[in-house]
Formats: sequence, C-alpha cells, structure tokens
Amino acid sequence: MFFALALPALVLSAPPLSDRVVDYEIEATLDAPSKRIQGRETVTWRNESQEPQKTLWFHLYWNAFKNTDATASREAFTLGGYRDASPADAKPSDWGYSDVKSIAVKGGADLLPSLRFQHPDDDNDKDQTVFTVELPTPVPPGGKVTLDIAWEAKVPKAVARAGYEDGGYFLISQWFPKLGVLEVPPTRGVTRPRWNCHQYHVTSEFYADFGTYDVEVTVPKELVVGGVGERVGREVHPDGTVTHHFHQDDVHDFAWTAWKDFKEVEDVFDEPGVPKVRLTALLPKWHRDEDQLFAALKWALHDYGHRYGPYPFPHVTMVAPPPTSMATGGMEYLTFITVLSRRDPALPKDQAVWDTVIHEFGHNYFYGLLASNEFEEAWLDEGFTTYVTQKAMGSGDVRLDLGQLLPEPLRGWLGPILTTDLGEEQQQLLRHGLARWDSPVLTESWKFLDRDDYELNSYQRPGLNLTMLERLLGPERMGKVMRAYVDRFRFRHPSSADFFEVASEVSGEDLSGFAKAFFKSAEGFDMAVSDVKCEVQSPKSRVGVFDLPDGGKQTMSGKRDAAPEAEQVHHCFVTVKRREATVRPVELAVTFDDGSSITEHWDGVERWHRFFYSRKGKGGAVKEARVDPRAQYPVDADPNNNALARKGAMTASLWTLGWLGYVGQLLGVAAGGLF
Amino acid sequence: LTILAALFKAFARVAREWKLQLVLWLANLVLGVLFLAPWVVPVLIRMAHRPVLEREPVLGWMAELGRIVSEGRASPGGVVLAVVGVAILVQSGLVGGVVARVCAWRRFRLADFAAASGKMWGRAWRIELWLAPLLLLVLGVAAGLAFALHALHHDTLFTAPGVLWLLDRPFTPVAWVHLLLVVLGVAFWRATVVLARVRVWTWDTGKTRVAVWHSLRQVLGHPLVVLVYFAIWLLGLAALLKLAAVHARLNTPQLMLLAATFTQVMVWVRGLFHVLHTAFLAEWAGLNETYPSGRL
Repeated sequence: MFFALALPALVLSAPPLSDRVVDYEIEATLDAPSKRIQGRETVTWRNESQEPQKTLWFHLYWNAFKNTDATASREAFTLGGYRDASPADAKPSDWGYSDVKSIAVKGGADLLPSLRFQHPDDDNDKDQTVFTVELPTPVPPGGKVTLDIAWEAKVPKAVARAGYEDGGYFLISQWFPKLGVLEVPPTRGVTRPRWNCHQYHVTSEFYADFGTYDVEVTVPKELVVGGVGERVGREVHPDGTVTHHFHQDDVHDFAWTAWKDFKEVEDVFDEPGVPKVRLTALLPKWHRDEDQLFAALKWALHDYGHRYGPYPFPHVTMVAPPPTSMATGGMEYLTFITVLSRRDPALPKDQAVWDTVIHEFGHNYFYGLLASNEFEEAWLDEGFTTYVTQKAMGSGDVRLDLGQLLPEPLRGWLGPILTTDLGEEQQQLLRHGLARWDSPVLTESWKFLDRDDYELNSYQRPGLNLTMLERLLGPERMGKVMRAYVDRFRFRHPSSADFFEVASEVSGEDLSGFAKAFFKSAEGFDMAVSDVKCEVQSPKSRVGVFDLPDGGKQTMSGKRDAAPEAEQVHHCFVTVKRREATVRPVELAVTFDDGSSITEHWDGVERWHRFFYSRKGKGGAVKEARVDPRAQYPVDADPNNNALARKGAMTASLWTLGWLGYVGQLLGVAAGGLF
Repeated sequence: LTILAALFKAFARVAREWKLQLVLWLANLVLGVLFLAPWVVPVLIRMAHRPVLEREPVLGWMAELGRIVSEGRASPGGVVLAVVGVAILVQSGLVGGVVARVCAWRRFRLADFAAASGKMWGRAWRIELWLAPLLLLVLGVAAGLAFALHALHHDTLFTAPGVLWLLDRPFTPVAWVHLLLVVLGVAFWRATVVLARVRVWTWDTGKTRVAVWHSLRQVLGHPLVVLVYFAIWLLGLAALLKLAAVHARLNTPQLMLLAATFTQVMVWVRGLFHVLHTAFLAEWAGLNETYPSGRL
C-alpha cells in the first residue's frame, strides 16, 4: 500500500524533461464482449505561441476505421491496403469509430456545437479523423485552457496498429480525442504558429506534443493489462472489473493492451553508470522467449544508451501480441513497444525477435525522445531507426540465419540447409539491391506512390543513406553528428533540415549537396566501369605510313609484339559511366598487372569519362578498375558494375553456374520422385 | 518374414546394381546441364569480368542472378517447367529399365536396359493413369480431413496460417497425425504403382489394368509392406537432408569443386534409394508370386 501511494509522488516530483505542453487525465472503461469503450478525459493545453489561439485541433483516429468513406479506407485501395487487411474484407463487427459525446471548457462553455470535422490533407469532407472546436475566449500567449471531453468508441478489428483480435486480445492505441500540435517558430522551420493535425492515413504514423498522462482503465479482472508508463495503482471492483492506474510524464501518447492469455514477466536493466530501468514483458503465456526478449531489450538499452544518451525513463513495457494479431505488432510508444515473440525461439539469438525489439525500442529515441512529425517526415523515425538498429544488431553480433525462421522440428532438419550468416548491413544491401523508388525520401507519407514506395523511402533507402553518410564522414564523425542531433533535439520536434544543419555543423562539411541528391530527389545513383582496354606498342610494333625528317614517307609493317617486354608500352584506357541522374564525385581505383594502383577522382558531372594510361614494361597494363573502391555509396543501384577486370574474373560465374547445375539436378531428383 | 527377406535381398540387389545407378546418375546430370544451359551466356555476360562479385558473399551472387532474371535475360519459370517436364519424361522412360534390372539375374547391358525402358514406357504411363484416381482419392481425403479439422479449430500443416509457421508451432499432435495419414496414403499409392510395374514386367503383359488391380489388392492385404516402403522412403529422405546440410556448408568459392562433387553423391544416394524401393517390392512380389485368375 505504501508503495502504491509513494510511487506516484516520487514520479510527480521528478524535474520535467520536456515542455509538457499538454496534459491528459483519462478514465476509460472497456466492455470487452461488445468491444466498446466509454471514456472521459480532461485535457489541459498551454499556448506556447505569441498569438492568441481560439481554435483547437484534435485527432479522432479511430474514425479511420468507421466506413469506406474515410480517407484511410480510400487510401487502402489506392496505396495498397492496411498493414494486415483491406477494408473490402471487413465484416460488420470489424469497423470501429469514436464519437465525441460532450466537449466543454472545464466549468464553462459547451464546445460541442462548434465541433467541425476537418480534412486538411485532401478534399474528402466525409473523413472524420480530425475535428476542431472554437473556444469562446482565445487562449492568450502562455495561457492555458482545460477541457472536459466524454467520448464513446467501438474498438476496430486490428488491421493497422490498434484494435481487437478474436480471442479477446486488445491493443488500444490512437484511441482518445487527442490534440494536434501547435507548431511555434522556430520549430520545424515555421515562421508563425500553425496547427499541425493530419488525418489518419493508411501509411502514416503520428505526431504529438509532450505532456503528462494520467490514465485509469477499467477492464474485466481476468484481463492482464499493460500500458505506457508506470502502473501506480490497481483497484478491484465488486462487479468483477479492475481499474489499472498508469502515470507517465514527458511522453506524447498513451497506448495500452489487455488479454487474458498474457503472461507478465519482470526484469531489470542494471548497468553501472546509467539509471536502472525496470522491464516488463507481456507475451502469449505459451511462448518461451522472454529471456531473449529481455536480452534484446537490455542490449538495446546498453547500445543506444552509450551512443545516444541514457534512457531517461525508469520503466519499459514490451508487448508481444498473439501471432494472429501481427497488425498490432511492431509499434512504438515511449516506454511501451509491441514486438514479435516466438513460441520456440532459435538459440542463442533469434534474429527476428532481436530485430523487432531493437528496432521498436530504437523508436523510443527516434520519434519518442526526438518527437519528429511522422506524417510529414516518416524517415526521421523509420530511417533513423533502421540505421541505429543496424548498428546495434551489428555490435550485438546478431546475424540472419534463414534456417532460424523455420518452426521446430523443421528447423533441426531443414535449418542447416538454409543456413546463412548475414550481418544487418549485408541484409540491408540485399534488400536494397533490386529496389526502385518513385519519390524523394522527403515526401509526406500519404503522398507516396504506394505502400512499397512509402516503405522503401521511409525505411531502407534513408537507412542506407545514413550508412552512406557514415562512410563518407567516417564512424567517429558520424557518431558525433548523431549524438549532437539527439542531445540538441531531445524532447523537441526536429525536422530533416534540423538534422542536416547539425550534421553539417558537427562534421564541418557542407552536406546540402548530399541531402539534395539522396533525400530530396527520386533519382537513382549508379556509377559503372564500362571499359578496360589495353594494347601493346613498341618501336617495332609501329605499323603504317610515317613521315620522315627529310620529307619522305616510310611504310612500316610487322609483328606488333616483336619487341622485348621491357620495351613494350601498354596503352590502356578505363571508361567510367554515370548511369543514373544523381551526380556525385567518386573515386576510381586503377590496379595494374604489376600490383601498383592509383586513385583517380571524378566529379561525375558528365555522363562518362575516359582515363588513359601508358606504362612501359612488364606489368604496365591495367588489370582492373573499380569505381567507388571504398564502397562509400552503398545506395549504388548496381554495385556489381562498379568493377571490371581486363581479363575474366571467373570465380563468381563458375560458382553461380555450379550452383545452378546443383539446383537443376535437385529439380531432376524431385521430378523423378514422381516415378 | 517374407518382408524381412525381401528387404535383405533388396539391399543385396542395390549393392550389385552400380551400373544401373550410374545410368540414373548420368540421366540426372543431363537434367542438370539442361537447367544450366540457358543461364550460361547471361551469367558470363553479367559476371565474367566483374571482380567485385568475388568479394561478395554468395548471397550477393544470388542477388545478381535475380538481376539477370529481372532484366529478362533468363526466365527461371520456363526453365524449371522445361526441366521438370523433361525429367518426368526421362524418369518415366527409366522406370522400365529399373524394374527390369531389379528383376533380372543377368549382367547389366545397356542395350537390354534401353529395350526394357522402351518396352515399359507406355505401360508405365498407363499404370500411372489407372492409379491416378487412387491418388486423387488419397489427396481428397487428406484435404477433406484438413478442412474438417480446421472447422473444428484444429489446424493441420495444410491449413495453418503463415504467421503460425513463423511464430508458433504448426506441428501440433493433430497436425502430426494428419501428416502421417497423408504420407501413408501417398505411400500406399506409390507402393501400388511400383508393384504394378513389377507385375507388368514379370508377367510380360500389356494388360496394365489387371496388374494394377492385382497389385492394389495385394498391397491392401499387406499393410506392413506399405509401412516398410514408407520407412525406406523416410530413410532416403533423412539421408538426403543430412547430405544437403553438409552441402550447404560448402558455400565458398574455394570449396566449389568439392560442392559440385558432393552434389553428385547426393544424386547417387537418391538413385540408390529409388532402386531400393523398387527392388524391395520386386523381391517381395517374387516371394509372394500369385497370378490373377483368367488369362492375361
């Protein structure tokens, strides 16, 4: 009892980490059988701008799942579906919605008559995921307003991030009327205050201000519950329900989960020199990978803590949804992440488990602490997290073995056949290998061509771009850039421009060209060596008609290679080509038969350039030429055309052909099995 | 006892028939070359002067193959279909020769093998056609059972959702039982097919329907034969998987030749088990020689 009372007091007395622009006190009751939520919230908002604000903008996200008129439903058709389903597949019970029943200034005016649905991103006046209310009196600069809101919601079937699943599982997120962000100069480059409150889009995620969340959720007592922040109270009611009380300062969202089949496991991250973090895992009770979930999370806390600063919150909850509800897996909220759990994890490190834990926890930094606008600049969370995940997986020596993906007992039999040993960076390069994008990275998330274009430009491409930046700057300078970016924008709303400004300043390089080429352009990058040719000349090998000093002519003919090798001159040329539109300076390494090599620098402006070499003596011919020899441009669309040998380099060809023969023989064996 | 005796005799037969296995291996080699042929030029054009690939992990080269496919220089689907088609034709031609050898006591002669293969080719196909309804019945029962179990909320390997394969355990007790029934059903069909071939050869008859009917009744009357046939198949599969696991480790350019050689060992082992299946049923049929009533 003492602890239940003392903990909130301690939490509340901690010095603020953020500006705490908005505070929520929420009470919600879940009726699990009907999948309905009755909620009340008190929202206190502070006007940080220098202008009075009369209009408040709110999200009402679950109306994205209300009907096919919603913008998200329409986008599901044009962009390629939700995470896990299409609205066309929906049953009547699958739809979800939120209805604001009352909204009023605390102790004052009723604002419900002024409620208007808005559609700032498109012309869809039937979308109900954003609304505004008009205050009777504007909130003055620095002033506060407190609203009381009551709402009722039907939980949607989990198709994208939130919802219920058959079997009584709930992931309740984006679930309450939530204020948008009043962006105040100089945040994200705005020159005057503006509300940033986008509709729910099928591809985009979220954006919100920091504040305090004090939330009480009442659920049937058999449900195991977890949520953002610290659980500061638990009260059992005579009607068979339980109220769970959560509290967390300095976060910008609140999500929670409930399921009777969760097992709840606790652990502690305790490392010298950094604050302790208590860890909770909620996973299907028949799964057995809690040790790996905790090991992965501890590694993430260790790695990110060292690179980007210690984790500032005392508690993290990991939720592994049931396998049938992957639509709610892989999501991130400060102090609360949803991950992937396996019933029989591979040992010693199950790559799939580690990857999701490290990735989703990475978002606690990139989107969590650095609360970027996921609607408008998705790469700032997904691209950065892809990059930092790769770093953490690499330092933790977590590698991909395709055999791990099989279930037991197939893993024992077929796993060794599929065995691979790929580091995170190699995987990234392979995934990127055949990818083609249609938009710049800096595109608002709902304006990409389709889901693939969004994912490529939000995850793999910017992740690889950051790897490329690291190779161009060097790991040490890149480390400093990242740390400075995190330190400067912790608990703030950074933009892409902010990052490049920090990167240029800390690295001492003008990175505007880099940003333009790889983030603001949809063009590809591909440098190639297209020719390596040599011919031998010597005094005796000169043939043709030559002018003599006395004005006469001499015709020479004969064997071209008649001279001794030492007198032979090797005339060679190497042609490099820029095969895509992106212009960047590159290096060209030219190696000669005698083992010597030289490095050329090509600005890449023209579509091609030819380098000539004349060397006398044995070993003077060009053996091989390689553009970008230090592999500084991993985004190169076709790295295999980066090098060319004068004579054949047959190993790869022979191995590949040998492998194809093997496949052919196995096909023969398989087909023969029919007889 | 006759089953045990047949099994021992079959092993002895397999040990003697190395020339037959050589023919099977060569036939498989031809299929491998056939599969390889359309790739040679595109691979050499794409890779032969690219030293960058030599520094890549093997999967990088696989990605390069993907690029060749995406550029339309080779069509794996077409090549696979062609090879499977040819493999079926080749194997259907070879089964007659295999049956003839496991029933013969003379030394191996290629001409005899070819003659037997030619003679049995049409008959082997007719046996397959006569017994196709049995296979359809087995698969139909398996599918029906799977759907029924699914309706009762018990997933089999054929109805388990993909995510269950990744995150959970699709091999539940129900799934195991269902799989065992399916495999035994297929083994029953296969044993009948092979026995019918043996009957057609030993009776030297073109009346495949009679041989099929006779074989079906004989196999039905001796379920233990199906179990042993299944056990041999399982042993062969286990051997191949173990060998494939070793082969998978030979994935560096330095071990390229060793890998290619090891592939041939795998093919040889597969051929060996193919002969063993047939030899077992031939020996068992020989020890249980019966003739159908009426004229053949």
